[in-house]
Amino acid sequence: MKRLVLRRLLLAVPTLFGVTLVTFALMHLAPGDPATAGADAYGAAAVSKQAVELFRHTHGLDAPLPVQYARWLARVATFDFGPSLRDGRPVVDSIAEALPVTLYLAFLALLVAYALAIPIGVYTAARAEKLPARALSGAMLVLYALPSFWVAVTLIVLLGGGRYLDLFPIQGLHSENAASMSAPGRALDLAWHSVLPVACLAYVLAAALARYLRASMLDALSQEYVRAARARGLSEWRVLYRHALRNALAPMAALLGAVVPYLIGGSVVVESIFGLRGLGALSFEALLARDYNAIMAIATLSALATLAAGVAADLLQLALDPRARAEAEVRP
Amino acid sequence: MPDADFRDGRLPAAVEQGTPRPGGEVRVRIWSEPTTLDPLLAPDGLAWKLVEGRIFETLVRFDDAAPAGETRYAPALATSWEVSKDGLTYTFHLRDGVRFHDGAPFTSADVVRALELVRSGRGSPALATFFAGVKSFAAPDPRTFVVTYAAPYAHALESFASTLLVARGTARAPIGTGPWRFVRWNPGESIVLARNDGYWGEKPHLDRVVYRVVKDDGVAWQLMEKGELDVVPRLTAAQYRALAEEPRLAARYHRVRSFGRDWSFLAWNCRRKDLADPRVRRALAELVDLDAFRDKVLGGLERPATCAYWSASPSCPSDLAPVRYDPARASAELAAAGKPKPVTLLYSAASPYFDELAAFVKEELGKGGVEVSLERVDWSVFLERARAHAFDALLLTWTATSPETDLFELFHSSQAAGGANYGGLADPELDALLVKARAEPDARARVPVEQAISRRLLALQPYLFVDERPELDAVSRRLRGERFGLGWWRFERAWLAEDGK
Repeated sequence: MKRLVLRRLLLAVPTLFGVTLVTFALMHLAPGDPATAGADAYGAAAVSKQAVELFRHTHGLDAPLPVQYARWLARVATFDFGPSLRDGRPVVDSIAEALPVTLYLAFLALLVAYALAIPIGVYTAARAEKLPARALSGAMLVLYALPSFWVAVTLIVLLGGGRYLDLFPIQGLHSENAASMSAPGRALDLAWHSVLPVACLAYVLAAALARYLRASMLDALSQEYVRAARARGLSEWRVLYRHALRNALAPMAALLGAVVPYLIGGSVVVESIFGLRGLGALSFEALLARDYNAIMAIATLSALATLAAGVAADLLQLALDPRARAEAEVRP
Repeated sequence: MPDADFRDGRLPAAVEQGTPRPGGEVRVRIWSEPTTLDPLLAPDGLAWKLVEGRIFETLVRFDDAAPAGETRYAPALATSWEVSKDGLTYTFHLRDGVRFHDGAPFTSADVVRALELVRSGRGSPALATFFAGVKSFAAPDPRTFVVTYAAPYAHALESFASTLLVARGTARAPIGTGPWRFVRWNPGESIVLARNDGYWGEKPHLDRVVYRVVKDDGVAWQLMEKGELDVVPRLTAAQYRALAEEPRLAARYHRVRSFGRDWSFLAWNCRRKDLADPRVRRALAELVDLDAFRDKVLGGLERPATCAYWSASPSCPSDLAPVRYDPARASAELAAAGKPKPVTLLYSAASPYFDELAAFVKEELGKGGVEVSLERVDWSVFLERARAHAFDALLLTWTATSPETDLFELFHSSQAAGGANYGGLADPELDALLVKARAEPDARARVPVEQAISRRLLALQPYLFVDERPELDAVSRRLRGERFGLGWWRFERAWLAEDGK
């Protein structure tokens, strides 16, 4: 078990190195130039050639690419990701600002998605032949296929706009006067602001997870041990949730490893519609502005998060599945 | 019945008059979050709009009271200035008793520090262009600032009217000298300013200005429905039209259509052999019925652009006969001069306006037998291709931040390699005129030279001038006293009327 974890961690080092190298190469192969890309794309102000050259020189962009990469590596070794080419702030500061927003939303969305997906998945599998379950299963498919920008705008107009129901705020995570509220007031304010964006992030996940779970539940329910459990006269609830679900959950845990990076990456669409400053918006803007330092920092940290989620998913699977545990202990 | 429109940036008299009511806050939509509030640091047009004249000030300012089309400078942080006989040295005398928002006195050392940052290349490349010819900045005493140029520079005062003096505070918590002071930046959500009660000039009436970041146009509309915004700049054309037809919203908001200095154009790659002849470029221009584009496609909100200078200024001579739609003449001319091979039209995916313009140009040139293929690319790719002359024709909008225009970067042959002369125009006569205009510090004496430049540009046809682009804004009917100057919404003298008045 310890060896497995250790091996996974050691393997992460070359993977991480590879990710940074590929990102660096792709970024510089892509056309575009940070000296001018940050300007307002609506209208442009003329910039002289001398000024562009000066900018490139100041930021070391005129050095050969291998030299630039080596310099970057040397800096990152001391945990210095450099300043943003857009605003001169350390990129780590911008990330530190965006990451909590993304983590908070991702965590809530994940919680909501699993809380909905598990009962729906179990129900649609247990009553697979019945009409209501089939209808619900079909509804999940439709929900999964709905584009999130459309869902977001519809929710805003119906539930948060001034014309129909005006139940929820539609921009940001805090009221303007949040700083002057009491602590419970602030928490309530935050929760109230989170309803619509979390709903938009969670519905796709919930639909996808419910369909996955339905498939693996159907698989589990056709197994001999389920028939044996029923034959022993166990209650249906116990059969479904204690016996079948436990086995059906193992692949769901593996899915967590894929879902977490997706959520950490943030959603450009949901973030920009609801005016949230998370990692999605940050990386999108960094890409548009060709902010090399910010792009590299985000790519490195995302790679780290993905690797960590992979290890965590493996460990979770070991905990849930005795067979995998046995295998891990037997292997040298 | 509420009036339909403010035309051309003039507010109805009722909005500019009345007795000011102190206090209150005005909530303004901004369409993206600025990267910084230090516009010297980054080429961010939005940051500029938010802080210019509010948090930060300039040495001199453009005089809003100057007659239309004429540029004059008025004192701001400098009360007076002198120019040496040879035109190389400018001496500015700074205002007494000016303090930063943190209480520190404002001195000439602050001016030097701010301008040195721009000149060093650590700041915005667009501003560095202004100071490329500076030999030295000096602060002989705390109230005097001296700048020396290597050669006379006609746009010296323009450069000081365009460069905000950012000397204290940080890009996230700016400290300036202006009538508004920075209070708070809620990342991703809002930026709050409050009245500077220690301001040296006339103090604002309002207590606070809140800039709310609302990226999505549709969401901004919903916030207008909820009554959460007082000023909503950059409506889409569809929203601008819808606003007049929605009684509920029209009762709460005025529509403002104002023309800043944005104009769109199509630039030809003059280096391409079959586009090198000005007669060919003129004939191609005559194939495009831009009046039809403005009226039928855009709904008549734009104005025709005819000249690279401000259309109201004397530098655009009144007898300048712009290119007119004339497909018959164009066909004859193309038959004589040689019809160009298929043309690729490059434009950026930044705005739906370019999509419509590109499609229209393609159709019109197609009718004249010139095949056009469209290439829609990401903004930074667009700029790189434009700089490398890797296009046949491109669409773009220039935005001028000052009423004066130096066309050197756009058309001088030296700026073809890596600069903004994307079409690679190289004309010795035009080059000489551009150099002459740049070296003439007297605005009146510069007019004939600039008129000659306008005429030469018309003859050379490097650009097909398209539209002057309006800013389409919604503003609460409660907001009074706001005057439109050359800047953006400033709230210098604005106040909020009580509800229902």
